[in-house]
Amino acid sequence: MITIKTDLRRKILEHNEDIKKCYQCSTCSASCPVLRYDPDFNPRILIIKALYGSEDTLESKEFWKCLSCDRCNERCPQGVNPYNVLLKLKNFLFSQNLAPKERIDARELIITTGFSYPISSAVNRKRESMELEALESIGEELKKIVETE
Amino acid sequence: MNRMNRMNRMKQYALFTGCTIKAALPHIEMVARKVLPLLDIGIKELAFTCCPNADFRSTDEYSWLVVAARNLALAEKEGLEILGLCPGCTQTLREANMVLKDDVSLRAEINKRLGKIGLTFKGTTEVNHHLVVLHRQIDILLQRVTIPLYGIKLAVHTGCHLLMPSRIMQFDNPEQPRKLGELVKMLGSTIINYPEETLCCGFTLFGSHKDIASRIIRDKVESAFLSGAEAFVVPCPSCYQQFDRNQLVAKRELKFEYQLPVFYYLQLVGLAMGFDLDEVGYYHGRVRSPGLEDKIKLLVKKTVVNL
Ligand code: SF4
Ligand code: SF4
Repeated sequence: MITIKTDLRRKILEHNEDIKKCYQCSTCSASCPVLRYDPDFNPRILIIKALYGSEDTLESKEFWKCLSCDRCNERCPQGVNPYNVLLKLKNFLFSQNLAPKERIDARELIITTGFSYPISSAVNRKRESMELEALESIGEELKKIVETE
Repeated sequence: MNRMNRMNRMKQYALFTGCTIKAALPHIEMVARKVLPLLDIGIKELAFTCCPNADFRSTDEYSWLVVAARNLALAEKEGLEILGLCPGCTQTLREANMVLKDDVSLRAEINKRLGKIGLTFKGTTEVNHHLVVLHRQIDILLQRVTIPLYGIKLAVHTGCHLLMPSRIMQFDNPEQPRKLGELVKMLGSTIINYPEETLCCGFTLFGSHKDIASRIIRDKVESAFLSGAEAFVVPCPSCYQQFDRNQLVAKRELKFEYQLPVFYYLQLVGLAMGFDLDEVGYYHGRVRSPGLEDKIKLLVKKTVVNL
C-alpha cells in the first residue's frame, strides 16, 4: 500500500516537473540493465512512488543501484528522463543526510584531493616506472568553489 | 613529410586523462601519450581535477556543475579544446559545457564561484572523446597502420557514456553503435557480432553490489566468447577494469569457464603502428590469452617478411 504525503510530494515535484509526464509504460524498466539482474530495482516504480510522494520513497536503498547508463533517458517516450529524476531524488536524500556513507566519503575525497581515487605512493611509483608525472593533490581550489559558507 | 612540419600542422588539445586512468590504469595514459602525437594529435597537460563523476553528481548536481566548469574554464584559458580518454569524463564535460553555454543566468552564478580562483567560463571550448576525433580523420589512421591486425577477432563494447545521452554525445546510434567497430576494422582486425553487445558493463555496481556486477560480466564474456571473439575492445577505462581485473573476480565467484582479455582501443592502434605488446602496456592487464599473444607476435614477423 502506498501512503501519500502531500508535503513530500510537493517538495519532490518542485524540482521534478517532468515526473508528471510519466504514463507508466515501463519502457524505462524494460531497458534497465539493473532490473534485468535485480527485480528489486525498478525505475518505473521508483518514479510513481516519487510522484505520489510515497513515504517509503526516501527510505528506499534502491536508488543507489542505478548504473547511470542513461538508457532509460534515451528510450522514455515521454521525455521524463528517469535517470535525471533519480539523480534529483538522490540529491534530495543527500541534502537530508540520507545518502550512503560511501557516497559522502567519495565526494569528500574529490573535494579534498581533486581525484576520485586515493593518491598513494604505490600509484606514483607505478607512474614513475612508465615515465609519467607523479600525481599531487589539487583539492585546495575545489574547496574554495564548492564550499561557499 | 619531415617531423618539424608535422609538429607545426598538429592541432593541440588539452588532454583530459581522468582519475581512473591516472590512478588505476597508468599504462593507458602511457599508450595514449605514445600514439596520439603519431596520429597528428598534439596533447597538453592542464591542472584538471576529477570531471567530476556520476557518483559526485548523485550527491549534489550544483557542485558537480561548478567543478566541471572549472575544468572547462582551464581549457578555455589556454585556448584549447578538450580531448577525453574516458567516455564518462567526456560526457560530464560535454553536458556541463552545453548547459552553461545555453543558460546565461546560471553561467553568471557559476562564474561568481570561479572568480574566487581567478577563472571564468566563457563558452569558447569544445569537448570530444578521442575516438570522435580519430573517426573524423580516419585517413591519417589508415596511413599510419604498418602491421595490420589481420585475423584477430574482436568483440566491440562501446559502452554507455560515449553514446548516451545521444542529444549530448552526438557520436553514434546508441541502439546499434558501429563507429568503434569501423575504427577497429581500419586496423585490419575482424569484428564479431555478439548478442550482448549493447549491455552495460555494470562497472559502477562492482563495489556496492558485486553479485549483480559479476553476473553482468559473466553474460558479456560468455556471449562474446561463444560468438568467436578472442578479446574485447573498449574505449573506456571503467569498462576496461570491469573486463580485466573484475572479470577474474567474477570468474572465481560464479565459476564460469571462459575468459577474454581486453584492449583499450589505442592499445590496438599502437600494435597496428608497430609497437609490441609490452610497449602498449598489454602485460599490465590481468586477463591473458597466450594463444592470442602468439598470434599477434606472429603477425609482426609475417608482415616484416612480406615487406
Ligand atoms: S519510460 Fe518514461 S513514461 Fe514510461 S514508465 Fe518510464 S518514465 Fe514513465
Ligand atoms: S540510468 Fe539507471 S535507471 Fe536508467 S536504465 Fe540505466 S541503470 Fe536503469
